[in-house]
Amino acid sequence: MQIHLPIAEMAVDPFVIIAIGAGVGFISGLFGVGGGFLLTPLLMFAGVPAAVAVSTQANQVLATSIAGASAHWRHRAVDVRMGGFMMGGGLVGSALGVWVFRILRETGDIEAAIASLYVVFLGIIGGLMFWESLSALLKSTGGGDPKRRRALRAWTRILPFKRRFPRSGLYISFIPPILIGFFVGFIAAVLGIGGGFILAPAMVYLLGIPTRVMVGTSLFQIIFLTAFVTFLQATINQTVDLILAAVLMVGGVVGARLGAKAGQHLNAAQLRFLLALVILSMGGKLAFDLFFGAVSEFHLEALQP
Amino acid sequence: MTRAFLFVIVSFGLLLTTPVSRAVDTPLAAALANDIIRVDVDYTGARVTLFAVSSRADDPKVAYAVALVGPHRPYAVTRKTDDGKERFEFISAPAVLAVAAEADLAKLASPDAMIRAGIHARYAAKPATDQMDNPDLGMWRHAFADLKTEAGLFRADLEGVERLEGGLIRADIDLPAAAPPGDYDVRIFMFEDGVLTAEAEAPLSLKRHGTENALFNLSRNLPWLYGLIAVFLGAAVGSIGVLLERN
Repeated sequence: MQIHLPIAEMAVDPFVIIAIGAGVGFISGLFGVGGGFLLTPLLMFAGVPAAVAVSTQANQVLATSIAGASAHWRHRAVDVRMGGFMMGGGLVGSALGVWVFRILRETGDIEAAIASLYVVFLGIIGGLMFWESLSALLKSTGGGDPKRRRALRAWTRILPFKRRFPRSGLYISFIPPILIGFFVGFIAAVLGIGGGFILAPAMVYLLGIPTRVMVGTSLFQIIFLTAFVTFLQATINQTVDLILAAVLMVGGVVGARLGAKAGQHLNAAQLRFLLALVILSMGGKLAFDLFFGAVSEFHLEALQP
Repeated sequence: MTRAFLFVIVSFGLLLTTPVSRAVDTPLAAALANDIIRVDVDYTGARVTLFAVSSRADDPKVAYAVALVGPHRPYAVTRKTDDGKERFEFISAPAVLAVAAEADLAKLASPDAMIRAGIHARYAAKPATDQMDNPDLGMWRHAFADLKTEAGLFRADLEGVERLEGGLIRADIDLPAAAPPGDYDVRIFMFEDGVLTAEAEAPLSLKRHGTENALFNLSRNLPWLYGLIAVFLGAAVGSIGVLLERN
């Protein structure tokens, strides 16, 4: 059985797409992450054009972020003011990212650019996760040098335009949240991810946001960011495929629930270690295809009649 | 209904409703079992069936081939070089070129005959007039044909041409699932000693239908509304996830 994707203009096996959505949803529920960084490479491996995969994935991340933020909202663990500043920077960054995305498409470089960025991104995330999980498995002491962490946050206290963020217990300049939001917004538009893996350490180590508020605030900001990216990609680049998004969401919702339940019974450090290996393997495959694979030196593009 | 009666009915219908062969003295007429195929979300490809009538269908000296060609649109082929990129545009080329023949096509028709018939993959793409003397034209044509072949949209090794009794010819070609909607031609060719001696064609239309049509048109004509619907879909599914979690 196959379904025809109207925007991607190709036929795919829906069960493959559902399985991809469910797998990523499972990981998302298990680790509390969006999973966007896994979804695009998997869709590309399934033959979906990179431009459509990135744009449609933002739509899927929107759905999972709403589901994820809800619990934190109920527990009053969302700093709306902080999220608002980050979202402001994110909207500008994502608009720039969509514009860059369009240019890359017009020059025919979008596939290579996305693959290259994902190789870097997956390598960094996988490497950090591998190191952290290995340390946890070996029960090394750690958590970082408190003095170094205070030094990382010092810049937020000397910049102007300070504001109070009661929910986070902070009195810092709003410039750093805007800058972090801008960077994450740009990445979200070009790669189609929510940026949680960048936001989480940035919010904790650079801004000093408490962990209990960090996840909910991050998801709150990602909701509006991915909604905006979805709208822009659909309007400007016309690369959002609703059929693909719907099929992914079906798998994602089911997988996320199963993953959340499984996470209660499994050893988290071991799972993070395995996930790190999976991420590094995917990054390795992308890198191999990019540099050593049998990639044609020619590329074909259908033009508008 | 006897076979002879069926032959008379089909032949009469073909001769009345289809273009007559362009050959001087060998009529060849063709018609499709279904000239409109509708593409919807559950579209998985379709089989195109062509019926033709030829007065020489019983002659072993001639051979028949059938081609599915179209829709035509401009294409660009880019090539990575050490200095950057090179780009070459074809003003018109078929998205799909699927050829079925009674035997190996290369044995039935000479390269010149295939080019004249428009079924030679490496000559399917048409460059702009001012590019006809480009020294790299052969390379770009070759690259275009290879890329299309890799995508499964150019094929010349199909079977499915069958001679029936009474001068009737039947050809079945499977349309690739990735074939884009648009206007196609289904052409039948008669070769003798490698030379093209007759041809006929019938138009085929692959149309978007139902949900596929609605979504595609909405994304192109009202992209802002399409974008809002996409956001609403994501929000709705996320909200359903919240409700499921609470329950």
